[in-house]
Amino acid sequence: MVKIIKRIATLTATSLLATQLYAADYPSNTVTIIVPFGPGGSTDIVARVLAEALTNELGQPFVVDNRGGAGGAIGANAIANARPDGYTLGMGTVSTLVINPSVRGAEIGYDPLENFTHITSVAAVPNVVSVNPNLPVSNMAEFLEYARNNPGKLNFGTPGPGSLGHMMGATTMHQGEIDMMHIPYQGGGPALAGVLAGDVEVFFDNLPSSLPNIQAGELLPLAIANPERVAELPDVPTFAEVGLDMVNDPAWFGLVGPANLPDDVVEVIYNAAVKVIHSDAMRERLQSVSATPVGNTPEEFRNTIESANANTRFVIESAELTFD
Amino acid sequence: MDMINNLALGAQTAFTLENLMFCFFGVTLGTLIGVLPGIGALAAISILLPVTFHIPATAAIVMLAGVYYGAQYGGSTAAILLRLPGHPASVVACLDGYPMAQQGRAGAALFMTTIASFIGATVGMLALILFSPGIAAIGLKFGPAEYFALMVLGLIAASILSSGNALRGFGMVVLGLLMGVVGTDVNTGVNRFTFGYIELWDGISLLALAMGMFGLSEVVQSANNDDAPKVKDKITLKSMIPTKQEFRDSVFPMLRGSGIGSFLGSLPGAGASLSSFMSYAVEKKVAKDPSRFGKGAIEGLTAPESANNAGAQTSFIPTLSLGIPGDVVMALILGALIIHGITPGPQLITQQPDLFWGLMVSFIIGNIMLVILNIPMIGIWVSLLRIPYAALYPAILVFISIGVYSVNNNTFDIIMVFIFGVMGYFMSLLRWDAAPLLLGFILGPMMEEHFRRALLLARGDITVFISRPISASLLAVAALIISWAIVSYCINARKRSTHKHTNAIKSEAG
Repeated sequence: MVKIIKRIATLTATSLLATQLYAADYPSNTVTIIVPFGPGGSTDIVARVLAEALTNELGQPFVVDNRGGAGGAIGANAIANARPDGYTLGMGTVSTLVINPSVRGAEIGYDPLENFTHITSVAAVPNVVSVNPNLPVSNMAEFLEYARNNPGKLNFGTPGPGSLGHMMGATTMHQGEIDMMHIPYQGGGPALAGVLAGDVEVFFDNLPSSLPNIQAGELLPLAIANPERVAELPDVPTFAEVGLDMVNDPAWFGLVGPANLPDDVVEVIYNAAVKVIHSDAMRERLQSVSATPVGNTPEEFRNTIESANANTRFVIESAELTFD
Repeated sequence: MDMINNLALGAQTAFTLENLMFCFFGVTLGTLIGVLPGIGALAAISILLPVTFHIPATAAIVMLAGVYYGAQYGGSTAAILLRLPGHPASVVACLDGYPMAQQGRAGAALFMTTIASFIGATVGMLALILFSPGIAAIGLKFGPAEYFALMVLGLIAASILSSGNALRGFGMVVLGLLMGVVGTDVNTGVNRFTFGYIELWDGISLLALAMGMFGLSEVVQSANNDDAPKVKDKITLKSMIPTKQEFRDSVFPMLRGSGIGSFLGSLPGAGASLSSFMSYAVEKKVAKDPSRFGKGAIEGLTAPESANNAGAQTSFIPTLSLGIPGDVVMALILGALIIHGITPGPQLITQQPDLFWGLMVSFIIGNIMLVILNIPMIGIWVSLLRIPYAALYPAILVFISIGVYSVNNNTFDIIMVFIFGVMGYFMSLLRWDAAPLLLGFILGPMMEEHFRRALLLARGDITVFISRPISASLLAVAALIISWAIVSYCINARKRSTHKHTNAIKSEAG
């Protein structure tokens, strides 16, 4: 028994020592970036672009590990529970670090602020509200007026209850003082089909997945959630411009690690990440998914998450949304 | 003559050495993973996707698409030979394919599925090339009420699927519907029957359920058998060639199956997995002698196989012409295009004509390659039956585990396969059919989702299901089938009772 305890003690000591050593020449081994969604989605694409750039920058392979399921909760838990040695990092998004924890509460198994080390926000993607072109409105002001004159008549489609689209819709109703019926779908694709068919009139979505149908005239964009207007749709105002500043946040994809990553490890990753995020090559590759590079400091990133959580909880409470 | 120009442009793209190679690689890989139980197109494409970021867009999608439709060819192979479906849709191939193999017609069955696959794929491809935008528009006419009505028809199909006792079949459908309830409710976000496991938020995995109930339970059952190979005789070329009768009996079923598959495949989200079940039910319904089904009826094998492959081709319609992926695999293919800066949508055909038409021509080339690839392979697959269980089944277990794990990189799903394997074993001891359960499981969540969405949109007005023409006609067909079933049951019952009655009188007189 004593022998075993001794052995455990030695092991712990060695591994502690190892952690210390790691930090000095970090990274000396393969780094895994957990993506809490399946391959092919925006988060995965951003992660893969970043992993490739970090591999070149730091000279060790950065590999992507897709752990999809439960709206990102499985992967987010895997990041939070990883060993804080810098060899397991992950992607944290507005869904996994803001909306899901606000919607699910303790059931989700992690705290978005306490259980992670926030490194930097890698990229942001604008959101958009668009309507079926048969709706007799041509801009956001007309839309709000139409909605006020027809309370409860309009339907807004979203990828599901407690999704980013649902929160955007709820916030628009709250701040715009309108009333619409929430029609949740099983994911963004079916919701897009619903609005193209005219089953629902209004659609809250990421810009990239709505854009082709907007450009084809099948969807009419009303407002963009982004700090400034987007190059693809220069005539479409931001939510802030039309007086709905609470809806104006873009979706973002950040780099995080488990809580208590050693400071020097964070510094190495942060410096490398910010350098590659601001490179021209990165800007160009992100453009393919309508994303723009961010690369803010850990404090700024953490503050974004903190205030977004507060806002989301405020909307959930004021709209009396329940999910259990 | 636009079409000829378009196809010429497509041929220019598809016939480059690079694209031909990627196409060949894709369909070959597809065939192989299709044969392996558990490892389907989803797993293979997930793994290949990151690789495609480094090759040109057209080559990438030609290859990934090849894996997808190639896997449909191979999916029924293990189902026929070993009663181990390659993926959930090929569960149907077990029903009549396996009995054929037991009757020594394994080679012929494989030959016919290849032909059926090719015909299905060709019909689907023609629909895709000629009528893409039109079909996409029809797909959009399918609102929640129409989907619900379609699912009701599907449920009736489920009750037809069962080969034995109707009441047991019904019980299995209900059990499947109940199992489909597990997971996050689409309307409210409430987690139902998840027992604190976040892994269950997305519901029970269809792949885990199918692999457990069919794959694993078959392996467990075989452990009881003696360790002798299933085929001792040498496989002759003659046993591999279908009879004229088998060909003749398959022509119309294959065409019907292609039609059903083309239609269901083109509906975003209807699930191509439905098409093979639906087509089997239709064949059983129109057959002169439905009692042959489940005992090696060739139509029961070829029609669903055509449906399956036709659906695989037409499921590209909503993906490419609307930017709406019909299922998870299509979402991956969409992702592969997006990383290359191409977002499919209504303008894809005009903005990227070489990509679109190149892909279409690659479908034609790929399907021809698949036939050439598959027919000589039949002998090799049949000889799998000569491998002793002790060597074959452990390997199968490994493949099932890899396949199920690789979808979400999650060990939870492997545990689920184990649980469903045990459950499936006891079900087969009790002669409870797993096929209706699986269809109930596929239909249940979709039915509930569309029913509630239709009611939400109609603000609770239930007449929405009969005030919309498509939904009303589908429900009318469903009502007709049910009333016909009741009427024919009554007629038969009366015949039987009069028969009994006369017999009784006779015996009294005697």
